Order: sequence, then C-alpha cells, then structure tokens
Amino acid sequence: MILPPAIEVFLRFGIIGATTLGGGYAIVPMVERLASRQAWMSAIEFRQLVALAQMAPGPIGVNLPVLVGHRRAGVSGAIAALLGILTPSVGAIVLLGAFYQGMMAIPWLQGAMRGVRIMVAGVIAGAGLGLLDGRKVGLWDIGGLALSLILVFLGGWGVVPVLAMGLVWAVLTLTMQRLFFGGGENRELPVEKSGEG
Amino acid sequence: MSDLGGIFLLFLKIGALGLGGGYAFLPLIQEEAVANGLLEETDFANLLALAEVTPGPLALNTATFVGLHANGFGGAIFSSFAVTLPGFLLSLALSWLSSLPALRGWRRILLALVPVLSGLIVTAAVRILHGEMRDDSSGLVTFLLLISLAGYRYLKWHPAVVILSGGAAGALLSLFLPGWSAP
Repeated sequence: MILPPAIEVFLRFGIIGATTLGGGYAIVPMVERLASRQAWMSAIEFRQLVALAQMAPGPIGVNLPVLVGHRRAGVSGAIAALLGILTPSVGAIVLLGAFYQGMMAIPWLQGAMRGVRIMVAGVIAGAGLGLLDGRKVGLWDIGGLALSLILVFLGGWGVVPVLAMGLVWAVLTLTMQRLFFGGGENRELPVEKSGEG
Repeated sequence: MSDLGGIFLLFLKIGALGLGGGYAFLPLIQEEAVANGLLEETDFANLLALAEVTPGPLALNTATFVGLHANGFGGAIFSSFAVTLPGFLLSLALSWLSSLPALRGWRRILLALVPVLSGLIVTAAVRILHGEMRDDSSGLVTFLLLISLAGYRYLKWHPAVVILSGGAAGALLSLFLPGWSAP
C-alpha cells in the first residue's frame, strides 16, 4: 500500500518520536538513518538541513524533522513531521502523567536510564563524526572541528556564539581556498540543477 | 499567569529565545517558569527527571511537563505547541531562503560549516557522558560507550536498537551492581 507522502512522514516521525530516548540530539542519527535508507535526500542535503536546524531557535529534535518533512512533502510534510514528533511525547506525558512519580522511585528504571544516556552519547558522537563521511577532510575541516571543540571545552562557549564563529570560519575557509586554489573548493558540492545559479 | 493564554505566550517566548538546542533551553525554561509562578524551584529538578524518561526531545518534554503541572491537559498542549512554533516557522523560512538560486554562496557556506557542526554535536555527547564517568564504574561506562559508537557507526545498527539495548543493559546492571543506579 502506498501512503500519501504527508501521512508517511507523520508515521515515520511518530515512530522516531516514540523510540528516541535521551533527548533531541539523539534524533539526529535517527533522522539520518531514515533519510538515507528511504533515499529521501542526499547526504549533502541532509548536512545542510542539520546546519539550518541548528541555526533556527527551538529544539534541534523538532527542527530537523520539520526540515526533512518539508523536503519530503512540502509544507504539509513539515506539519506532519511536527505532529509526528509531538504526538508520542505529549501523549505519553498526558496519559502517563499520574504514574510518573511512582516510576521514578524504581531503581532498575534509574539504572536503565543511565544505560540509555551512555548509549545516546555514543550514538550522538557517531552521528557528529558521520557528518564528515565522504568528505575529503582537509586542513580547513580539521581546523573547523578543532575550533568548535576548543571554544566549547576550553572557552566554555555556548552553541550560538560557536555557530556565529563557525560562520566566520566557513567564509574564511571558502575565501582562502578560492584565493589559493582557484575556486576548486567544495569538493562535495553536487553539480547543481541547470535551472539554478 | 497560569491561564492558557499566558502559558502559550510564555512558551512562545521561550521557544523563540531558546537558540542552540536542548542545553540552552533548560535553564531558560526553569528561569521563566519559576519567575512567572508556573512552578516552584524545587519542582523543576523533579520534572526534568520525568522529561528524561519520556521519549522525544528533552526541551519539548520539559515544556510539556511544566504546562501539565501548571494547567493540566490544556496547559500541556499549549506549552508544547508554543515552544515548537518559533523553531517550526524559522526552520521553514531558513529552508526557503536557502533554496533561492541567488543564495548559492550561502549553501557553500553551510557545507563549509559542517566540520564545526560535527564538533558541536560531539561536545553534546561529551556533556551527556560527563555525569556518567564515575570512579566505581568508569570501565563499564567506557565499554558500553565503545559498543554504542562501534555498533552505530561501523556495524550500522539502528540507533533506536542501540539506545534501547543500553536501557536493558542498564536495568540488568542495576540488579547486580549496587552503585550503578545511585544518583
């Protein structure tokens, strides 16, 4: 049975919303898997969407599904993705709200959540590094990666200033590459459709 | 301030100001919700723990719990929609802008930004891990972490499978290791 795209988006993100424990960043690997397995978009398009999801206000765990849903099925896809992510978490809270206090006293549940957090850290780190897959990683890329790690860990910077500095870095990277290597930069940028540019 | 309109406006503001994802959000929700009398300071840690065992983004879950706490079912619905609305609209606006042919250079910049994003996402992982590395179980934590990283990245296990099996492992460990589930 072939579902209308918006319904498919709703169901797929509903499943992701229901199975993602451990916070918003854990949604990045889930959505990456979905987008690549279902061939909804190229890895490069996905990376651009991750950048946009990070720049918009609000949880990345909501923004990224919205952007992917939009790419898949237009504005109705974006709405479907939002509802797909909202339904399981809001539903669980509203339906189970009364039982939650008792749940928290269960020791094995606390232990399970600790296991979840550790695995989430591994999966998120894997997804972060995975953004560089298929890219001929050059000195400028390593510099950008190091820049964000240094600013966060040594400088104690938040996400927003790091992103702002990252944009400056990106512009600098492109300018230097253009000056010294004659515009052959962006090895991974696809040939854009002929209608563009 | 705990009428539905007030809740909606407050969380709309939180959603618009909460740049930079989950970790930027939580202090903001805490500050605003307490200042506006939606909950007591001591309630927040409690709600945060509940938000963590709920599937979905942590910032969204926390907002939903605060809404539920302040005004029942309606509060939960209003707070969760309001907190996601600014991000929804701005994501679509950014996506539309980025698709304009004239902004080809901007798309190049986004791709040149990817290594920085990669680093930022890794720091989110390190932050989560930070609280888990304790003297009595750091070997076990490292072992689980390596399984997770290798399973997801090299063996291509589904991330949900990796995360949920970590939950099962954690539950078992709490039965055999007394200190495992201590806060």
